[in-house]
Amino acid sequence: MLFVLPQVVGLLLFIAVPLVASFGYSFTKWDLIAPDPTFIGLGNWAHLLQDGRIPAVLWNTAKFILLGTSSFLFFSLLAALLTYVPRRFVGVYRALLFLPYVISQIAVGIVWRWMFNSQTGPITLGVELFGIHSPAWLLDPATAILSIAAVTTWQAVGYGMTLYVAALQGVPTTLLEAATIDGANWFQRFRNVTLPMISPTVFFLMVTSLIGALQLFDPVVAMTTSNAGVAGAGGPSNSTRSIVLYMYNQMFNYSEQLSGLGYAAAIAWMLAILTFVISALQFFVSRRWVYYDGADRGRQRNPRKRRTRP
Amino acid sequence: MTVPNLSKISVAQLSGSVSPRAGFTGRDAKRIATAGYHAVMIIVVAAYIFPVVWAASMSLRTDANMFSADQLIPHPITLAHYEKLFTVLPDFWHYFGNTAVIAILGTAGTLFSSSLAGYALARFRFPGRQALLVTLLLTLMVPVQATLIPQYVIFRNLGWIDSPLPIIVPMLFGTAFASFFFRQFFLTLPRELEDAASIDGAGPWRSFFSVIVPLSGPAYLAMGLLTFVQLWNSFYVNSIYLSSQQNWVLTQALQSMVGRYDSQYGEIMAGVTLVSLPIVIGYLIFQRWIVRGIAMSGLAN
Amino acid sequence: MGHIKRGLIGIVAAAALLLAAGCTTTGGDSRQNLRVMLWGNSTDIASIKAPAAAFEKAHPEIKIVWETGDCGVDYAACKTLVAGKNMPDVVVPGSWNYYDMVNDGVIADLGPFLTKSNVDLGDFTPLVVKALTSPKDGTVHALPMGYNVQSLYYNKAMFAAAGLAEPPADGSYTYDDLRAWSKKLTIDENGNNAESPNFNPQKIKQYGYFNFAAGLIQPGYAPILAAFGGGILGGKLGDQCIIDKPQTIAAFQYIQDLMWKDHSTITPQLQQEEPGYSRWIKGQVAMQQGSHEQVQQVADQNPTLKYDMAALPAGSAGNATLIQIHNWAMYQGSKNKDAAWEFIKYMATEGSGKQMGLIPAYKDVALGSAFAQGAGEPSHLVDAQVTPAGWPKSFTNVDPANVWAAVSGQDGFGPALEDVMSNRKTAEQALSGLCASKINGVLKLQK
Repeated sequence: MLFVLPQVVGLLLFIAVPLVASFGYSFTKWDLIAPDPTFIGLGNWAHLLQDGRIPAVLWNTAKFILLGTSSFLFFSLLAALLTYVPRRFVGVYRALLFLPYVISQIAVGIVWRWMFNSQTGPITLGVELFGIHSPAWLLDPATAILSIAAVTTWQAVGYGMTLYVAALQGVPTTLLEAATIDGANWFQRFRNVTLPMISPTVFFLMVTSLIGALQLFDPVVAMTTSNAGVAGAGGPSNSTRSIVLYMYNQMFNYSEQLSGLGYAAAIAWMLAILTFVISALQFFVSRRWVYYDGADRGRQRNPRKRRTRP
Repeated sequence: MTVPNLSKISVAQLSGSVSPRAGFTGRDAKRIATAGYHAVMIIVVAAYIFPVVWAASMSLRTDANMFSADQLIPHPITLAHYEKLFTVLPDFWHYFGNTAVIAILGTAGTLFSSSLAGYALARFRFPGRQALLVTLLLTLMVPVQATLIPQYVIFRNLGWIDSPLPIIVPMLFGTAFASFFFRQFFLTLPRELEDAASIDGAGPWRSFFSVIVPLSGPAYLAMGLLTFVQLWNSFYVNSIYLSSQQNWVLTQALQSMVGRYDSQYGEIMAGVTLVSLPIVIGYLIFQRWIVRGIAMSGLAN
Repeated sequence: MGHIKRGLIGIVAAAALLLAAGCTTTGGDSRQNLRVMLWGNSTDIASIKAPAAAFEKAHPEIKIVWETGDCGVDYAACKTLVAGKNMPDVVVPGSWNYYDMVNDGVIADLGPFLTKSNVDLGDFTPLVVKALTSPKDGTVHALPMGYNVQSLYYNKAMFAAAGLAEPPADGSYTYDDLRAWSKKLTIDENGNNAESPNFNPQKIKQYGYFNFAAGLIQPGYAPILAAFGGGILGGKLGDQCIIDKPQTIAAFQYIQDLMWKDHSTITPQLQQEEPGYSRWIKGQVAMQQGSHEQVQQVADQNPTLKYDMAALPAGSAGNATLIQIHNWAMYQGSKNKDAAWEFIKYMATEGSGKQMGLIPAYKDVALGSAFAQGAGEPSHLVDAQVTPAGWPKSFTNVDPANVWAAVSGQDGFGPALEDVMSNRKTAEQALSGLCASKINGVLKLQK
């Protein structure tokens, strides 16, 4: 099959070997200095089950997903709905909404720390406008992960919007006209025509943003490291330490009792397995709601044939 | 109520405010709805990009005003940080070129290979199709940090360290992310499209390039843009592979202005502004392409 | 829709051209390549390339290939190079990660080279040599590029305006004096200082003091801890937890009181609004604790700032300061060890000077007129920055047991430190019993 050849070759050459190697590392300990890792059997996997920090970092990551991924999916769709119809200036609106995705992480860290500051920060002042005493955001263990989720959503909405717009523009207008003729109001058209037609993109963003959120790393480093470096990131009070940040710390943490890269590999694969299970569930559930117009197996409801009643 | 002649579902309708109909109120209502729409959008967008404007504004402030809350519009305005940027990084445009090579080649390669793979995954039955899809997704699920070292070893054995090859070449074969995206996208295209072509005797390649690709402009441009931005802004991987200064990309150059105790904020923001501009301009230009593409594709009429 | 296809072809062609233009062929060069990896910002890198140019001139057989990478700040990232067996010949470890590389066997023992050549370790600052000499076996794996010393920078105009005498350059004053000055030098928008009953801590225009402790970094708080007779880690190898000693707790409480009781010192919260160090440069802070690199930064950003420096004050245990060293070291697996040695030797001795804005550890250079009386150097440079390296309680942040990263991170005392600096807990509440409850466990795991 020539179509998949480049992808398969690339997969085998550059991805498969490192992937298998990292799985192999999870049965070893390695300080990265010795020429080769030492085989230690299931030690790292056993340690994984006893490591009291794993549930804590998983919980932090889960909080990030609940706050960040859902708001990302919702606000990107909203932004796309507001800007996908070709008319004056929507191109400019879209380009501007895309801006936060474009600027580099260095600037995001500097600017958002300032945005959240408790003296003159616009976020703090905004909250206090409503008479609420503002928390210290990034410096408060109760709100730090929420703040990071807000910033990642802010950054990513432009990206989600771009993909949604591409999908929305693929919705045949004939279908919408037909629905309109049938007397469907905007919500019914959205619910019964637009949403099913863009559901493959919704599904794509759902799966990939969840995978990405489970690997939260860069924003935490950008917003919580003081000059103390990556080793000190994840505060205040461990509240923003994600699973991948913990894995990264463990990767270089080696002693007689600690396996360094070996344990990091075990954490990485535990995360991969967890992600896999969640994604598999998403795929399973997706059969009920994702509509593929061009799929070779049918049995899905077809908005083309479906008529809505007012 | 039936509303004929509505060629496009409008935003005003989506927000439920107005339903244009024939008659004397129609045009006025539509005009008010449009004005309302733009008013809302301007406020929302302005608030949304405030932090970006703030960053750009920092690049025009004096050091003394760098963090003052009343400096959204800098007063006085200075271009000193832009001048300083080019004294600190005299090879700025060289890094710009390095970054452009990586981003352009990587994006072009990814779009080509991944759209082929995505098309096959969406349309053809072949042995191992499900396995390939699962493997592709699995590669996304293992954090990059975990495969970094084995990958580094491979590229060292190939003698590619300190060149852009470790970043570009894997992209030429397509990325799992983009392949999955294209699969999802192609699944939304009706099968009848190729059926018509195959009646005319076109093989899978011809129907892909002459029927599917032209219809998929928005998808190509969206994914192209995202891949490009990611390559343009990526730092971590680049900093590991591109160790000599002549091979630096822009993010590395910007990072070099972050000090141990203090950063050159004005210069960093000047750099960030210059680095971001091409993408924003690109977005605005490609925007038109997308729209023209849809108009030509026949999907949207 | 041919325009996309044509566009793609155009893009590929353009990219190929760019790539071709980017690839410059390196001509025949018989010189020996010496890979030297640096870190730091562009000023740091330029400050090293200047003396290195003289070295290349004197050694036409050696061609230096410069690289940048994280073997100084973040040894973790540097390990990728080691694991990938692609380490450069020469690296620049800091005192904070020097023993990581020594204990891992990544950098070579310089003993044989020292005996072969005429370099005498007695020519370097004793504290620096002591820091680089392994407490386990007495080996030395690096020569110093230079060091930085924490001292007190103060704004001369603000001291004059408050009618205060400037801090004695030799450090003959105490942390109580500093606290009292800091209150007098903190002024709100109505001109009241922090001692006045009408003082409004919400509207401060001028702060008395800034310490990088607000950024939770070791060079900020460590000198105060030592002057109070406390510390984080003790013992010969630095592997004994002393963070809950009463003296350590008293020192942290002192910092917290300055920030949150007196309101005379920049807090982490204020630091988020604007880094305290920027406030110092632009003249909003009367005193700050910092090191010699800052001389260049002030010269670059606000040359009109009238300041001088003094040695750090005495706490209940006497005067103390922290010294950080940047070093020249060679990779154990280097195939160019002789060339690497020539380079290291040159850069640490004849070529030493203001590399990375540091004080040269080669004594003749440090005290010579070219350095100490150089243009733009504060007049108290020697008293404030060179002499304190000889104080009995001065110390370096070497980490012979390789435990600092784990002890200072989120698994160690990181959260407790955040609690103190953000005023969520008193030093007593945050630190009491912390060794037994947390740190000793971390230390045990690192063995």
